[in-house]
Amino acid sequence: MRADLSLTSNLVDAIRNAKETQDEAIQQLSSGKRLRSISDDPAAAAQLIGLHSSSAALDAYTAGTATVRARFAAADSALATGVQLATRAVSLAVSGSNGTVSAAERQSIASELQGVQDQLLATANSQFNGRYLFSGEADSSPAFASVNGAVTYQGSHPATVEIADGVQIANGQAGNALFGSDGSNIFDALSGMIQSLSSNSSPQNSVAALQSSLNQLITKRVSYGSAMSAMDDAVTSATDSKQRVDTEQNQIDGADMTTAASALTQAQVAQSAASAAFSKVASMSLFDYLPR
Amino acid sequence: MQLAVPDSSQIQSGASNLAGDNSIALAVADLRTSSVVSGQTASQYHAESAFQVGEQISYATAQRDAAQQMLDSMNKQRQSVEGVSIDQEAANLMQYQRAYSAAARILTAIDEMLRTAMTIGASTTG
Repeated sequence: MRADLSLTSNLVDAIRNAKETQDEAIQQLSSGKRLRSISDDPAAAAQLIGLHSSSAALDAYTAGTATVRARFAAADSALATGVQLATRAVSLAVSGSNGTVSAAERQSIASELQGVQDQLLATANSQFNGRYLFSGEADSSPAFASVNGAVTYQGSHPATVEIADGVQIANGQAGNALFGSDGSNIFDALSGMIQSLSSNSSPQNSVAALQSSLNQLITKRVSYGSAMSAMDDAVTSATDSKQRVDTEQNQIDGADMTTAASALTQAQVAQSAASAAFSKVASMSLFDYLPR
Repeated sequence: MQLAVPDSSQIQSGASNLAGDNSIALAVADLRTSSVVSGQTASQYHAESAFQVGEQISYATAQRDAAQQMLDSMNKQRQSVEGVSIDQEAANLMQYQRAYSAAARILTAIDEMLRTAMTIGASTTG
């Protein structure tokens, strides 16, 4: 037989194949991934790219929504203070309207109301992370400014934020939607009342205006609560989707550890067997039996 | 790595100059789901391109492997024709050595016979 050389080359092939199988198994075991290159499974690679994009978007929605939600929580708590202040103002106004109240008492109610108005203005100009909460898009400057006793809105309409695919919500309420438009806002109602009380007249008309401002504030504040629960739902749903995407990614790309481990063992056995055979065959020839 | 824009406030996120305007950022985010290349989203296009390239690589690899196998099998055939078997050659060598020894034996025999023949005359005449 003349196949000496091809016999050794067959053994070399066997050793090389066993090494390749080992490399692949070690790669799978260390990375936990089945695919090494897009050519291993092009269809799976294409699917993985889509899933990776969805996964990144879900992460971005979750992180972004958390930021917006923190802002809404700050705004909601500022508005809770606003409602308290406005409620206090209404009750002061009602007692100031009582016919039996003396001029001095009206004066003291007026000065207390002045304090309430100042606090309410400060509340309307609340900040979060250095941005004014109720200025709409113009959130680098205060929502309201008091010029010659008249408080006017300086902000703009609120921006829109996307909390899930195709789900956009307003980034809060504009200050003039919460505290009333210029000329008929809650600050004007308070000013009117303070003026009446200071001149010892009953602030009857202003009480109704203040009450309706308070109602507006309460009604509009509700939107923060519902927006926050919408955001919570969006985050829950994003977390669920993310879990599904992860599972799917793992199904496509996850290595079967048991199979990889047994493939590694088999390849190691095959390699040492082929190596042993090689050393035998390479050293064996009739010359070894010839007298020298 | 150095960031070109170290402070996010330097990014123009909106069409207006208002700090809270995020209309440009929203439009950029929209690109993810917009058809931007060949009627597909960037991600779809990326996936499809990867699929095509992967298929081509896979096809080329299969072709290379087939060609390699063909080459290996040809090499083996050639070796079976032109290659020498060490054992065969060793056996041949033994055979030639034996033949040589045999031939040498014959020569020795002839030489001895001649030598004997030549001593026949010398002893009778001497």
